[in-house]
Amino acid sequence: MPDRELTPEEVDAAFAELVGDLELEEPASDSAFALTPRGTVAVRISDQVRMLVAGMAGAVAMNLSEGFGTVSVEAEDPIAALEKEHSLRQARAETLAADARTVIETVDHDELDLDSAEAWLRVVNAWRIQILSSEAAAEFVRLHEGAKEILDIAAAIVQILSVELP
Amino acid sequence: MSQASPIITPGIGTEEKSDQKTDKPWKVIVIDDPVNLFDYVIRVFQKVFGYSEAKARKLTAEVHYTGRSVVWSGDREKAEYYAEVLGTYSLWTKLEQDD
Repeated sequence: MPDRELTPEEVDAAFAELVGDLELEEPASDSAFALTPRGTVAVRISDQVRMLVAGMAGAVAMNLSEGFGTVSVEAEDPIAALEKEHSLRQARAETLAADARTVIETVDHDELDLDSAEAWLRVVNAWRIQILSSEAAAEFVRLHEGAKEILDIAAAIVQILSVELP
Repeated sequence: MSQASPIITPGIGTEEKSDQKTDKPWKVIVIDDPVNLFDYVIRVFQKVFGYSEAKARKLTAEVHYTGRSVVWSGDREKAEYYAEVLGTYSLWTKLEQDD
């Protein structure tokens, strides 16, 4: 735990270290992701946003055991409860790990199949959950307008894919 | 006692009571959270359960305005499957057996 608050300059420096010199642009419109007649999803986002999405996938993959909250167990049979809890968490983690791999492999594609687009949706949403459920990350977002912008971009991607995907 | 393994996780939960009969249906309950977007949750319900947009929208509104909604009920194995899938979409889910 830090013993003092960061100065605005330190926050700026930390943010610059995180995102480099990206010039952020939100997905321009609802056409950022659009179904094609072939049943695929056309991806029309900037290279900068693609880099952000890749970063989100990396963050999700590295925090599979965290970020999805703590687990509370109330059980008369705690062993069975823990085994169940473990298997369900394991299944979620495996799915998200596979999704994150898919996103990283397809992040530069201009067209996604529906399974890959679904993986993008789950991963970007999972990243939002990780950020917004982390007190430190939420504080960082509060302090830095640019961080809020990234979160807005993630929300826009989730929103557009939610509406566009069949 | 043949019972009871109530589990509550941010993604998935299970509750049982020791006097419950095994033939009673299990309810998949989605709990409101402050993060997931409305349209996202609607789409997840359509995708996972095959619900119409109208039904998915109604259930999502129920989650949002009342804090929870029973989105499916039936046998335990399938309820656990649905809870697991909803967990992969980062929804907060709980399983309960009918009283």
